[in-house]
Amino acid sequence: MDIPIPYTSTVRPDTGLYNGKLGMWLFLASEIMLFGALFSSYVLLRAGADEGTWPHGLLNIPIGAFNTLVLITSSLTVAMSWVALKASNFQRYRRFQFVTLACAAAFLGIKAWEYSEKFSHYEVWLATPLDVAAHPELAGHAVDGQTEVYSVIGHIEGAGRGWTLNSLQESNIDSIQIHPDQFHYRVGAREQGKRSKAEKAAQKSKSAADHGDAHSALTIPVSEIKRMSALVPAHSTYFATYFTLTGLHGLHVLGGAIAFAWILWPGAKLWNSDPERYTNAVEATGLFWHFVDLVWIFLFPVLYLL
Amino acid sequence: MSQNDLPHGHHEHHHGDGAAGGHHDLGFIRKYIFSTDHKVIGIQYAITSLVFLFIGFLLVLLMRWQLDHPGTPVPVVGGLLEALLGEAASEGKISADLYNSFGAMHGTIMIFLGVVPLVFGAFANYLVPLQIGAVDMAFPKWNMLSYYSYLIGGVIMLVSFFIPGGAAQAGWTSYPPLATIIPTDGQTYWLIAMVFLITSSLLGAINIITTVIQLRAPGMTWMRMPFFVWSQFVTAFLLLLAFPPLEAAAVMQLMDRLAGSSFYMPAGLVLSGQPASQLSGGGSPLLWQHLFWFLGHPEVYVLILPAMGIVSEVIANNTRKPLWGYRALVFSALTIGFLSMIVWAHHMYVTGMGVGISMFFQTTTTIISIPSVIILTCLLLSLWGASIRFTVPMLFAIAFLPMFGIGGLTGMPLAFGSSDLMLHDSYYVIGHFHYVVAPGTIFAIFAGVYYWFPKVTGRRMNDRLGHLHFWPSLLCMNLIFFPMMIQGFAGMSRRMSDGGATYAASNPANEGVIGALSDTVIGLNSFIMLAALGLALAQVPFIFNFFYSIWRGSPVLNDNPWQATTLEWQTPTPPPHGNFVEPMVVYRGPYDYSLRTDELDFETQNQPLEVA
Amino acid sequence: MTKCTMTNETHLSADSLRAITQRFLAVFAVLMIGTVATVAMYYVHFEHTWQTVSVALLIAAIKAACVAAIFMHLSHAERSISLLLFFTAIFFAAMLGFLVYSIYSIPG
Repeated sequence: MDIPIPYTSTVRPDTGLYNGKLGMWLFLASEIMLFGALFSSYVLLRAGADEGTWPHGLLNIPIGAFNTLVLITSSLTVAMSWVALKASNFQRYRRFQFVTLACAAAFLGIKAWEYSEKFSHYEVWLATPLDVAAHPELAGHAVDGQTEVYSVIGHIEGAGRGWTLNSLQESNIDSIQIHPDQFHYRVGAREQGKRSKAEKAAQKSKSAADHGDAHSALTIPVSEIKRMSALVPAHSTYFATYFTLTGLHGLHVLGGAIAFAWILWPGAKLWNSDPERYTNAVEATGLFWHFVDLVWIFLFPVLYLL
Repeated sequence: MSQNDLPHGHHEHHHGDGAAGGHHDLGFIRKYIFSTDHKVIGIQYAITSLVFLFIGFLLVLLMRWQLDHPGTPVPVVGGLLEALLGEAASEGKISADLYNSFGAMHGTIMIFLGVVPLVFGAFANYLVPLQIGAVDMAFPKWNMLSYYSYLIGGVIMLVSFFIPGGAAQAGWTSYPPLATIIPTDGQTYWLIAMVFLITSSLLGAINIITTVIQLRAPGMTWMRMPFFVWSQFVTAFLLLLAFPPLEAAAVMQLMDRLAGSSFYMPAGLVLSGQPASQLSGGGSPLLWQHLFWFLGHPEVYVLILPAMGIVSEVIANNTRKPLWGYRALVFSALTIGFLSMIVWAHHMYVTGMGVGISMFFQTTTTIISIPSVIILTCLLLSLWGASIRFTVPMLFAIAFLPMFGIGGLTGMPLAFGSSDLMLHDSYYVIGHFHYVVAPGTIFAIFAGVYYWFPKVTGRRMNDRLGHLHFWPSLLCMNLIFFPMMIQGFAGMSRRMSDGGATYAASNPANEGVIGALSDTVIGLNSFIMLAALGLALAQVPFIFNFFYSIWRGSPVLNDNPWQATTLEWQTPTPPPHGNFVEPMVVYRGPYDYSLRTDELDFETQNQPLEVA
Repeated sequence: MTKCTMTNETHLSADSLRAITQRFLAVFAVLMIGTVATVAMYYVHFEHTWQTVSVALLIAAIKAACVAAIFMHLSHAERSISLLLFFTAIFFAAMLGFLVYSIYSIPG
């Protein structure tokens, strides 16, 4: 139908490349600049943030680590499926790609669940700070050496997703009940570790009856709320970066999965007519997939752990 | 001209049935609408971007009226404006908001929808595969998608004029926090449209680079490529690597506008006297400027490098000489490509980002002028001792040289932080970059249109009308942009909707104010408006000539009417799908002119060397 | 196998395919171990933030290098691709460097 283009299935001798591979690497170079710009923005915003205000420890690390393993596994199956095609074993290729697609679906599903968890997790900034002495349930919210708590983080009873101070005022709600988290992010990771140990030791000697205390609800009148936000992009530049980077990354996972699925089903005709070109398509899309994996390798420690 | 139409082509029999040439017929839609043929896509790009260029020009005519007659109804089209845009143009007057919209959209349309798609989408698409002897682009389907992505982006931009609140108003640079808090959805439309335009440019860039690397004809070595191909090759790399950071920046501004995040919103922001207490803050307006100019400056070279490529081809052909210093041209273009990626912050001296960082960018900015001057010098020296054919494309190409020279040299005071502090955001800046882009790049575009028109259509454009287009355009361009330099030195800011009346010395409120704008300086607005009208009139012969010549122009007598050496002239006219009748093999460099003293003073690139 | 055109040969021998498979599995093992090490590092709580950042980014860089070199065949990359990535890396470094520098260079 169209003009046949040279070097779609064979390599050009002087460059050692077929068109698709070069095209994909060019695209990946632009992707490096895209994610690179977002990553640079993250570093700029973090370096410019005031001491101790950068949130951390609010993401689910075991889940994030599990998702990392899922993505790594998918990278392996993509690589193995290409080997299978090189060995002219189409059935083996198909089996590996089924695993790839399953991994992609698992990754996106888990990510969606993580997102929805954040949408109903709130931070409330207080007009007048609360004293820990009067509110022992906020012990984990006080920065070392201080007794005043300026904001409470936790789950609000009966709250939907993405509530703000405006939406509270508009629906004439007088007060909210919040179950504070064990720790506030202003308390550093190292400090949290120390306090957890101390608490565990204390709990061993104490009776279990006191235990519920730490998670009892705290009532805050709306008039005392300065600002309120779920852990959404509006919460802080940290979550703005988190959602933008992981959202864009998720779109890439989705795009890669669609491309693989397309090659696997409607595109499979090509295997019979031009197996080399078919293998090239899998290799080029595979390059994209490995790149997406590579981006996540950086995103996971940067967003979840640091 | 007809004495130039000597037989030197081999495909006269193809006249008339051009595009069908040997391939089975595609339907109208596959052939002209959803075509994967690089030439059809190039023409689609050309027509669309010429329309956008025209729209951008109309916007600025309206703005010039407003600057000269602030608050008075626009003559002739005032009623139409009110009918189209409603309250913003009530009684046919341009409100300040509407002026801001026009300003932002003039810049956006001219750069992202007009000139870049024209020099890169149209010229590169049409000519690069032809000049390297390829059958098509490496990825024809992505090429088609690139055009449609561009078209969608353009339509979104245009639609934004008609939504409540109107189009984007924060300037073509869209600096936050202003761009984020501005109460029109036009800014959101702008950002979404930009994402489409960037995608389009990326697809185009990947395609051009792959095509040049992979699809060169046998014998077309790197140093046998016409300089035009080199210039487009470097341009494609700039688009590939500089545009993604703006895409990232646009996504973040979209997040700020739609999800309420604070990427660019600093802490403690006060909006209309109210503290923005529901914003998280913690963002940085500087971040946007970095990412915007990381694209923005390479973009300048995206505008100028292809123009230099076009001018080089036209000059080589009409001087009948090899280009002076071909290798110097190539390495200068590559150097410009590299350096242009690390000069961006010279747009940001007044942000207060610190002296150390300014120092670095002043240094790179002054260094980048060296390869630009080398290119200009090479082209100038190419004229030396030539028996020049003063054809219409050559007139535009020659005019490009001093015009770009003025544009470049007036940039030097802006390259240094100390002088930039005085001139920043004044009309001087406007004068400077318009010299580069308007009588610079746009003249090169005209040169290209006149030069390649016979290959695309099989007919020549009329010479007399061409002269009628060139001379008044050259005059008016200078009458428009030179007075702006004077206004800028007098301190007139570039973003005032009243033409400076607020700061006029004659305004009683400014009595005794030092540095208020004198009547002469403000009076230049009238002068510029008349010159702009003159420029508009000067385009009439071009527009008429363009359409008239498509159907009625004098037919070319052979496939190589300009007696050119490069491969695009070795195709049938117009070139069919698949381009060449037989595969090309290249034996020579791109500019084998002046070989003999007779009329056939040249050899085409596919002509084997004579064995002695 | 060690020739730089490894991935471009149309048909690879069973032996070389086995060798490639083994390398892929080795990378997979490195990635798995790296992930576990990264998470473990988080619970160690270093004295200073910069130590945590350096270790985390070092592990990530090793993992990324493995993916790029083996999964993406960059260890056998053609010259044009190496050049492309080299310049991309320079421009990325310039962007990152100046963005961060500009935050620290604002007077006052």
